[in-house]
Amino acid sequence: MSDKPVQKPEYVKQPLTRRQFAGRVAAVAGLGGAAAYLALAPEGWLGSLRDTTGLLSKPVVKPFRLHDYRVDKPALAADVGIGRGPTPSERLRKALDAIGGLQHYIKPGDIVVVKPNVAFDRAPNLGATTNPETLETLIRMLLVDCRAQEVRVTDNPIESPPDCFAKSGLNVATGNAGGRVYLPDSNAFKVLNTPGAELIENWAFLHRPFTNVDKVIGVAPVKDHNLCSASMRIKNWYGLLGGRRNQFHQDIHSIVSDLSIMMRPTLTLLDGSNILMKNGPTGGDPSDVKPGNVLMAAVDPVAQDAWAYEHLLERGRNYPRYLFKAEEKGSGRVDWQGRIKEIV
Amino acid sequence: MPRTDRLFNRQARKVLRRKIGLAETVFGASFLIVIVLSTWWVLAQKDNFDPADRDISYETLEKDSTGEVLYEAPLKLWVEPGRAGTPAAAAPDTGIFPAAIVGEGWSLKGRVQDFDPSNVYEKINGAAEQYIAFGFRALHWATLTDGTRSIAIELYDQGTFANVLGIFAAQGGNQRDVKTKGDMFYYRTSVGVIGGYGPYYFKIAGDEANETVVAQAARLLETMDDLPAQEKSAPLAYHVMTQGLGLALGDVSYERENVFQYDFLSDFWFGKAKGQADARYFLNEQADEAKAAQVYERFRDEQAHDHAVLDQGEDRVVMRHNFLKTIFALQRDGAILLGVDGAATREAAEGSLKRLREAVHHERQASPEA
Repeated sequence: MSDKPVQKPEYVKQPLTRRQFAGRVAAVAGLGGAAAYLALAPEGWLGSLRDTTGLLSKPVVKPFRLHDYRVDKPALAADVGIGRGPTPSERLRKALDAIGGLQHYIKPGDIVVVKPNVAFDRAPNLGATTNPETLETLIRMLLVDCRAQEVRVTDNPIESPPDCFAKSGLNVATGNAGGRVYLPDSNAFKVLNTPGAELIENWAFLHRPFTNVDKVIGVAPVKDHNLCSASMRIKNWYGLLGGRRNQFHQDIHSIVSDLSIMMRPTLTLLDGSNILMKNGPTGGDPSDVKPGNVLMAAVDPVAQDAWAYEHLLERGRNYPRYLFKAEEKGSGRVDWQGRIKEIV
Repeated sequence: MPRTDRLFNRQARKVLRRKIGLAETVFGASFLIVIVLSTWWVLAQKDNFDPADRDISYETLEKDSTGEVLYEAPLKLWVEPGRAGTPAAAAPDTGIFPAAIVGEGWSLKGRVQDFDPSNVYEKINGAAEQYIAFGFRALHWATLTDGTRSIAIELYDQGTFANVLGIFAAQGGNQRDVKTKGDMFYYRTSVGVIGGYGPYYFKIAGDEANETVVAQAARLLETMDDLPAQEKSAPLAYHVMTQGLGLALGDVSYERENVFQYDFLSDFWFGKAKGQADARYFLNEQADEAKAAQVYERFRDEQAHDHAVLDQGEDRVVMRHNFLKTIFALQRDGAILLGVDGAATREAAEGSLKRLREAVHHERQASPEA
């Protein structure tokens, strides 16, 4: 005899009745029939799981939206600040002071993304990329003066990103100042939804460096551009797009104005220390580059670009069409009169 | 505790216990919650993680790396089968560029990159359209380094000499101090050289302005002579304008189509007439004399709509514009159409036409195959 305990001594096995048998057979048949229906019913029938076209199993891409990173400027500050001086540090401080100071916009503990122009595998003396000295100074100010938690520097050049960051000197500048370069890879992009955009309402965007970010600052050079006349602050957001973005050159004024509503940055800086006066955006001859000793900081990128077009590129008031389109989309005002403060 | 109350017992899958303690219940529930939350977190994260939390910096990777050698250079350079013993066997692959671009102390940095119209935006995004408008066919890009400095050579194949001159002028090169060496033209920059030769437009640019870079750029310029091309000599019209008439490169221009706003006129060369404010020479070469005669007649007839004929001979006409009062002269010389437009007086126009005709004859004799 086994010494195992008896679980239910009162249990008595009952015989299966005909009714019970029929009921169980019906239940099994019902379940089998339902399963067969789900599996075999033509596509489109209620509850059918057939997927001969593959459309049911097609991944659904859910676009995300960028935060609005803007910060209200101090009451008496200008919309656009201009700083002049012999060193990047002096220019930056003057320009930022004119719009309320960097510490008004960046708080201790903030994670900040800085977006320079690293579009080409070119040396800094050709003026096609952001001046590395300016970037290095800005990162030091963010980390030391504003006590930012982290400064991320990123861009998505179509050319080899590591080569572009290396040749432009921006990789070394970022490292020296304590920032960190985030290079794009194929998994770093997500579809961004930009309501109101004509061409990029849903388009791949370099997303990963923007995860958990508190503030965004753009630092662009002032350049001639053979398609849209000038590449300045707003145009520089183009570098965050993924996919076959070169197709947008067919309608460049629309894409640039779209960029002005895609990104609502905390601050935009326009570096006039090396102005590429012609043969942009790539350049190739240092004599096309004019030293400017000017830097602009702004909370209105449209006015900023308009002033730079007129005074830094010296092309009068026949502004590029994308600036007016950006104004129509609510990104700022072309008319900079009375909204500029210059500290010499 | 009785033996039958143990959670794990010999009765597999049978819970014999009548009571489960509070601590065990709480632990079990907490454990389940942790599992559920972990699963939810993993599913929610996908690739949406904060790179600051999980990316590993290059510095850390480098510090923690074990120095594993993934590739060891072979003791002998690779030699293509059948090419053993040839001098080129060990030479670096310079692609379309002459092997001489790799000089003493300088080596290729990476491979030579080649682009065509479908992918040139990958290298010069935003600038590609300008080159494409001037007949762009290919871009070849090489970077040389001496260990501390680097020099990039951009070689644009624009298809024809006229296209090269067009892109050179569009980028303002013709306004610079242009030098010529045979049919090659170029100007020096502080970091290199920009110029054209045959169907090629080239830009040589170092990453800093110093004597070493400038000397290397000058050496590279010499190697441009050895570029492969079926036709590297400039067309007759270019020689007529620059050598025959002695015009500066900035005074010479080329219009590919819709010349004089006529859709049947294409491939015309122009040069500013010296000493005459708005007058300019023009020159066009047709495939043969019959075609040239046909185009001449149509051109003359179209011009007659707003010009008055002052003098007309066989294959030659002089006209005055009805409103501007400027003089237009046109002549056919074999398969060549030549003329002057915008001259102030008839004498000036005929004098210019004579000089142009003499220059054409002189250049034809100098290069009879043209």
